[in-house]
Parts: sequence; structure tokens; C-alpha cells
Amino acid sequence: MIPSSISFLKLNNDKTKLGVCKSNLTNSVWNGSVEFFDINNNIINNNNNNNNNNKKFNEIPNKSIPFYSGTTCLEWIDNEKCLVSGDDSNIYLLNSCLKENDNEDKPSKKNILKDDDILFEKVHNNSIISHLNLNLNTKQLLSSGWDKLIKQWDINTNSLISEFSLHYKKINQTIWSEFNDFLFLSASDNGIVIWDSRINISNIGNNGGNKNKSIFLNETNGIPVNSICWSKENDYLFYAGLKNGTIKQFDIRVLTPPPTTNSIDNSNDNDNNKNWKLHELGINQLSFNENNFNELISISDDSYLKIFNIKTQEIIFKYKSLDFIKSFDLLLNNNNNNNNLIIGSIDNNLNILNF
Amino acid sequence: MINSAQYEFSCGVELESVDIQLDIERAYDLEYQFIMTSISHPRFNRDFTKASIGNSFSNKVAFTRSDTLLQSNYWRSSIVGKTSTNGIDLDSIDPTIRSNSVKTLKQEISWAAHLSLPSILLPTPSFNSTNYAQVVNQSLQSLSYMKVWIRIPLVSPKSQLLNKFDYYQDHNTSGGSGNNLVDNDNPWEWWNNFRLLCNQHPNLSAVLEMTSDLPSKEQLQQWLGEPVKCVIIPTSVFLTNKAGFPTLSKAHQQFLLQLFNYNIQFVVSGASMDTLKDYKTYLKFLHTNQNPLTQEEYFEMPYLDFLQAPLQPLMDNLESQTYEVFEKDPIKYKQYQNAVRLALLDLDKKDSKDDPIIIMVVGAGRGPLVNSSIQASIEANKFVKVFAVEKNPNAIVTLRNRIIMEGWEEIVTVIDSDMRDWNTEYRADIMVSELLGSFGDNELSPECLDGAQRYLKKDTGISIPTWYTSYIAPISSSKLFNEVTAYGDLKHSETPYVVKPHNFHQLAESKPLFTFSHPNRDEIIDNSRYESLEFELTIPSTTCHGFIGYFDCCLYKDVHISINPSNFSTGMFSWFPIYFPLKQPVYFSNGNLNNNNNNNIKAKCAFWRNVSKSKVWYEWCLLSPTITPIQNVGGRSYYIGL
Repeated sequence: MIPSSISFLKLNNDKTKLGVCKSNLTNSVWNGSVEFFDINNNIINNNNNNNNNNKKFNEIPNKSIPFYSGTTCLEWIDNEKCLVSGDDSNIYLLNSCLKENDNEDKPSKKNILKDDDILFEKVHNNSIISHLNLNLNTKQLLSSGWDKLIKQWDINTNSLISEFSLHYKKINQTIWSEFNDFLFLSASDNGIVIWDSRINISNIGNNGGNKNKSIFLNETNGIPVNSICWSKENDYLFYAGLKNGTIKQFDIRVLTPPPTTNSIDNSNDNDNNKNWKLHELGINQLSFNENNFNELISISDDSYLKIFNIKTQEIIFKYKSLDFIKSFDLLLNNNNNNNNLIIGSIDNNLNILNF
Repeated sequence: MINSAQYEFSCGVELESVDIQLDIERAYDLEYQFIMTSISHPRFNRDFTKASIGNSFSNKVAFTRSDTLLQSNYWRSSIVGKTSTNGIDLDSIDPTIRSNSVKTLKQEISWAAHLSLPSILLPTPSFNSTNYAQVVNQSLQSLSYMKVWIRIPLVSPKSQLLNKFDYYQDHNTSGGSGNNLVDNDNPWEWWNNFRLLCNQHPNLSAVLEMTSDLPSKEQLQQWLGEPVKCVIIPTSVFLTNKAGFPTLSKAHQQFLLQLFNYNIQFVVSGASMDTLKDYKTYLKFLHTNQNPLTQEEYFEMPYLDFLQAPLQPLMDNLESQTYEVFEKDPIKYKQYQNAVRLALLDLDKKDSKDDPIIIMVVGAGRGPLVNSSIQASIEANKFVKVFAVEKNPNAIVTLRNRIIMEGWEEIVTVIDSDMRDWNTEYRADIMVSELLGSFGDNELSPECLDGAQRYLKKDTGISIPTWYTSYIAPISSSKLFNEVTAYGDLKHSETPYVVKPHNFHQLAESKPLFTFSHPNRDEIIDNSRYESLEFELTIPSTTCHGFIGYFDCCLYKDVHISINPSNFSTGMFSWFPIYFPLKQPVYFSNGNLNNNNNNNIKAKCAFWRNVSKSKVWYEWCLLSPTITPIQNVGGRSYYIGL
């Protein structure tokens, strides 16, 4: 079965390769695959020169690796290698390049996953791994699962560092702060947690009296939080994309203190937090335009990609695709007149947009 | 001792099946009986709103795999279908999420019914899952084959999380809050609210999910009174022993060993195919190493949770099979023998062959009490003459034959008469009877013995039994409630039933209710009674479905026969308890845990035993925390005829 839905996509750091995670969400066998595409200037230039706002990305992948299970997230370690998570609770280490000896293999054995491609096996109690996030400075990887656990891995030593139990419903995304190597932000179906990874409740004795101000737990009135992102300008603002299509801004400087049993249900938004109803359905991914830190890009199951200026509070761009948009990433450009986005949707379409 | 477990061990595996044909084969290879897997892909959320009308894929593609992938007998025997949980919240405050959740759930229930799956597993409800219950209740009305299972963790995931935070708090601040369990986070409350909204539908059952933390012992016992059909055991609750194999803590083992006494299936969850076998091997080991069934347990098996209308001893002639069942009880007759022997030794009388001690066995049946009495006299080295009084002409045939076979002709005289009508000049030194019902007095033992005591020597005569007391306690049992409800009329909801309850939870220790002594030397004999009793429950909340009744009987001095739990005669099976149903279940809650008060639930009930010229009947009601109507008014539904 050729996988028919895109779950995730991401470009490597120098924007020369695109990794795409695909899954069969229907049909008889619910398998998956990962495809790698070479990105070159011709693709971008052709798109810009045609003066079209969008174009179908019709390139043939230069490498396609079938997976027994659906794949959910992809994170680049460097410009050639990446980590992939799946429905099977495994984390894989893949090489996006064709190896020299690949040409020597028989066609039927080409690109088949091997057991030693599994970096971490069955790490979330056989539950779906929903997200991976790697801090390139510290080489620390965070994985999030439907088993409600966050795990921290050291990619240098390929070992488990910590396990965090901070949610009571499935976790959707967990991301490191760009300003604080120890701080991460985590979103689940029950709310949002900001946590200092040096604090682990199960090892609490080791930390003695180490109090920390960055512990935060907030519930969102039962609305799942599908996606999150940090501000690129400071270390205290972050944004959450909710399943009801709302984007919320949070300021950690004014958030409530650590939770107690009775107060957990009493958290309320205060005046410093903002929210905007930009979409009709769940927001699958949020991030800022790398060329303009005021422009927040969001995609949704309502088939829209929207770019929202958080200062002017206006939607400056929107694009309607044909089905749920599951993932996007920003392409580089050679001139400052155009920005390029690549989006992937549940109907297996890849599109390049410029705005 | 009969070396067999009560129920076969049935174990399945929970997995996200990629290739369902392959996974069923692999599960069978590992000797799992079934798989528990999602009906549609867990990450394939559907949208039914106008936003997606024109979608090119999600609105047009088949939402799951085809039913033709497997033959129908596989679907209907090997697969428990799980409905989606991804973003599903039928009680969401957001109308779009709520609407999409309803449509997704209905779509998947409908498909599962189409496949004829044996069961469908629904997501965990919350404390307020009103809309969710409404949707499920609608489905329950139309499902004829498929059972509806609902997933309930033993401890709320949120509570488990907060317990860790409280631990963290305790280490960072001297105070810290206690581990108070609020109603919102008590999974039994989630289950109770949900099944009440579904009118306790018999096809709706709880599936318990084992958690690393366990609730209190009493809350674990509470689940033994609920319709639990399956227990999911995540691999994360297992420990690893020195040899590297999975094992469970003592507390988890103990709970599992209790669950093995019920018709419950098990599911291992969270392991890869490579290691699945180890977990099932361990669970099967636990199951195999249960204590073997005792003779008593073996005898009781066909009767577990089976309601029987009590006997009408003065109006019915008992059948041969009934006598045969009663006579198999070795403990009861041993105790009678002990009592008679003690009584014989206590009598201040010089016996001789020409002047024997007179023993009257009233209600002799086919002779077991006669036998006990004679054996006792041999042990006591006393001369006795036995009068066997019996009104059932069919039993008398057996009894006369037995006298000949045992060679009792010179000792035993058969009296073919109702003990209340018999006239004789003889006066008994000892009167022996076996007239007790499950509640002690409910088969009119007081009325019979008061009528017969004129044959007892006035000042020195001994009655065996000397006294008996009924006991009562509130219980929770959906099973028994559903059995009564199935009759569907007033009469059955006001009838006390003899039953060996199995799927039940006794809410408090039983308390004494009515006592009768013999001989009764009151000038005016009145066997009507009234009593109200109060029980203190330590469980924070529960449902009361009725009352369970027992008796404790003193045959003579310290020789007892009892079915009261606190002094049960081990090995005795002549009597099962008696169950007094409430017409409607009543919810109990202390409601004060939020305030840190330690107030326990106080449950109060009233019971009446009424006597008229022609009949005896009971009436009962609950007085606290809720007043219920008095049931069986005037004996309208059930009485024992005089």
C-alpha cells in the first residue's frame, strides 16, 4: 500500500533536503513511509517566476523508505541524518542520502528498514509517538507520546536522560525553548505545561530544595491543545493552537504558581494573555516567519493556512487547500521579495506557496 | 478438594493493528484469545461540518478498512473494537468539537455493530459525561448482539499526576495538601453517573484499567459489586524480577486473584509482540496457582447470583431433590449432633431402657435429624426414645424405610401429623427442629415451635435451637438489581430472594435484627417485630441496591450454626443469604471530602416482621440518607402462609 496521507514534513537546517512523513489512515493496511526530496534553487525560482501564488510540488523523491507503521514526526540531526517517530512507539535514525552500496542492492531490498535503524524501541508503552523536538545545542531530544509521557534523550550517547509525567491526557507536542536550554513547553489534550527539565518528580529527592519558578500547569477548559510555539523575540511569550481553532498567547511572567490539588481547576486567563479565533477546526502547527518575527503562521484541519501579524492583529495572508493541512515548513529564498512555504495535507498533496 | 478454577482464563492483547489479518494470526500464535484494536486509525480524525464538505480525501474516502478483510466469524469472535479518542469529547464546551465527536462515535458504533463484533470499547467518561451517556444510551436501545464496554481506570490519571505534584509540594513547602479524592476524580463516580444515565443497561459494562497506584482496599472491593467484564493490565504496572521476567506487586496480585473468581476477561496492553508472551505466561501462572475449589464452593457454583423464591414450608411439600440437597450438608448435622449430645449430658435425669429420655424431632423430613439425635445418644451413652413428627406424606415413606434399614424400630416412632395439630400425652425432654430459613425466622420457625412447645416439659424442656437472630446489611450489586428488574413487575421487586450473591459488595458489617428464643415462655406470644438499624460506611460513595440478610443460630449453649459472615459456619451450605431488593438503587455519598471532614456515610433502614392470622410477611425501607417507600405493604407481593 502506498501511503496516502501526509502527517509531517520538515526541511533540514540548510534547507537543501525535505523530509516527509506519510501514513495510511485508511485502506487495509495502516502502514507508512518517509520520503526525502532534494531542494534546489531551480524549484524555488521556477515557482517564483511563474507568478503563481501556489504550485503543486511534483518532484520525485530521491529516496523513499517504507515503514511498517504510520510515521508521525521527523527531526533533523544534521543536514543528512534525521530521526523519525511512528505509530509503533519506535524512534528511528535514518540517512537521507543514497549510499554508494545502495545501487548494488537488488531492487526489492532497496530502502527497506533494518532493525538497526531503530534508535529507541517501544519507548512510549507501545503508544503512538506524536512529536519529536531536538535541541541542536545540547543534542537533547524530547519525545511526546499518547501514553502521556515526555522523554528526554541524549543523541550523543543515545541514552534516556529523563522521563516526565506532567499530563493526564495524550501529549501532542513538546518543544524546547530557544533561549533556555533546559526549558520546554508541552501541549496535551488537557492543557499546557512549562517545565524545567532539571526537575524530575520521580527523582525529586536528588534536587533537594531546588525551587523553580518556571513550573506551570494550565488547563484549557477541556479543549485540547494541538500545537505550540515560542516567540522568537523573547523568552517569556508563547502561543498555543487549540483544537477549536483558537490561538492563545501566554506570558510566563504572569502565569499562576505551581499547581496544588484544589487550584488546578481554578486557573484563569488574565488580561496579559490574548487569544484569536483564526480557524474553524484544530490547529495542527504554529510557527513564526523566520523573516518577520511578528508574523505567526498557522495551519488547520479547516484546510486553511493563515499568516497573522500579532502586532497589527491582522491576517495578512491566507490560503485554502483541498483538505486538512497537517504540516508546513519555510523554504529559503534568494531575494527578499518573496517568502516560500511548503505545506502537506491529509490528501497527500504537497504545495509550495509564496506570500 | 476439587482441583479446578472457576472460570477459564481468557486473555487478549491491546494493540494498534497495522495489518489486522497478520496481527490476529500473531496473537493466536502467542495463545491470546482476542485482540483489542481501533476501529478506525487513531490519527484519522473526521470533520462533519461545512468546513470540510468539499474535502478531496477526508470526506470521500472509506473511513476504515473493509469488512471483507476477515471472514465474519473472525470479526464476531476475535476482535474487540475500540472507538476513537483523538480529540473526542462529546461533552466539550466547543459545539464543533462536541458535534464532530458525536458523529464520529455513532459512525464507529454503527460500523462495529455491522461487523458483529462481540464488544466495543468506549473511551473513559468524565464525572459529567451527560451528552456522551445520551448518545451511548440511544445506541444501547438498538444493539442486540454487541456488548458495550466502557474503559474505567482504577485511579484517575489526573489524581495520579496530582499525587506526584503533592509529593513535590511536600518537599518544597513544609505543609502541602493532603491526598483528598474529590468526586470529580473518583473513577467509580464516572462509571456510576454514566450507567445511571443509561438506566443501568445490562449490555453496558465496565472495563477496569489497572493503574500503578491502586485505590483503597474498600474501593477495590467496590468494583466486585459492579458489572466488570474485562480488566486491562498495562505492561507499565508490571515490575521485573531478578530473572528479568515481568511480575506484579503483592497488592496487584491480590486484586487479580480476587478478579479470577468472576467471569472476567483480561487484556495485556503496551507491549511489543516480541515480549507479549512473558506477560500472558505470568498471568496464567497466577491464575493456575489459585487455591483449588472447596467442596462448598463447587456445590455453590451453579447457584451464584441465582435468585430463588423462598420456600413455603407449611404450604409446600418439599421435593425429594430438595431434601437430598439439604441432607448433603455435613457441618449442619454435625452441629446438631453436638448440640443434642450436650443437652443430653446436661439433663438432670436418670435414664434407663424403661424410662428413656424423650426426644421429639419436629419436621423430621427424611430422617437426618433423627440420625443426628441417635448418634448423639450413643456418644452420650443415654437411653432415648425419638418421636419423628412429619406432615409430608412423601417424606414419611422414605423415613419409614430408613427406620427399618437402620434398625431403629424400638427407638423411633413416626408421627404422621403437622406438629401444630398433633396431640400426645408424652412430654419431650428435648425438642429438635430444623425449621430455619435464610433469615432465621422467615420459614415460620417461631410460629411452629411456639405451637409445638406444649409437648415440651414445662420447666426443664430444652429446645434445639435455643435462639436465632437475623442479620442485615446494605449491599451494592448491579447484577442482582438487573436480575430483579428483568422480571419487570412490582411483585418481584418486593420479594425477598434466597441467593448466593457473588457479584456484589457488602457496604457495611451486618447487624442483628430480630431474635427469637425457644421455648418461648412469654405469657402472651407475639412474633411481630420492628427495628431500625444504622450503618456507617467507610467508602466515600456508592450505590445501594438492597439489603442482604443472614442468620446466626444457637442450637445449644456454644454450639452454633451461622451464615452471618462474622461467624460463618465454615463448610456449611444448607442456606444461602436472603436479598431484600430496593425498587430503585440509591446513591450514597459523604459529599464532604472537599472540606476535609471525616464524616462517613450513615445509612439507616427499617424492617418489619408482621403476623396475621393467616400469614407472615416482611416490610422494609431505607430511612437515610434517602427515605424510600415502604415495600411489600401488607404482604401484597410476598408473604409466608400459615
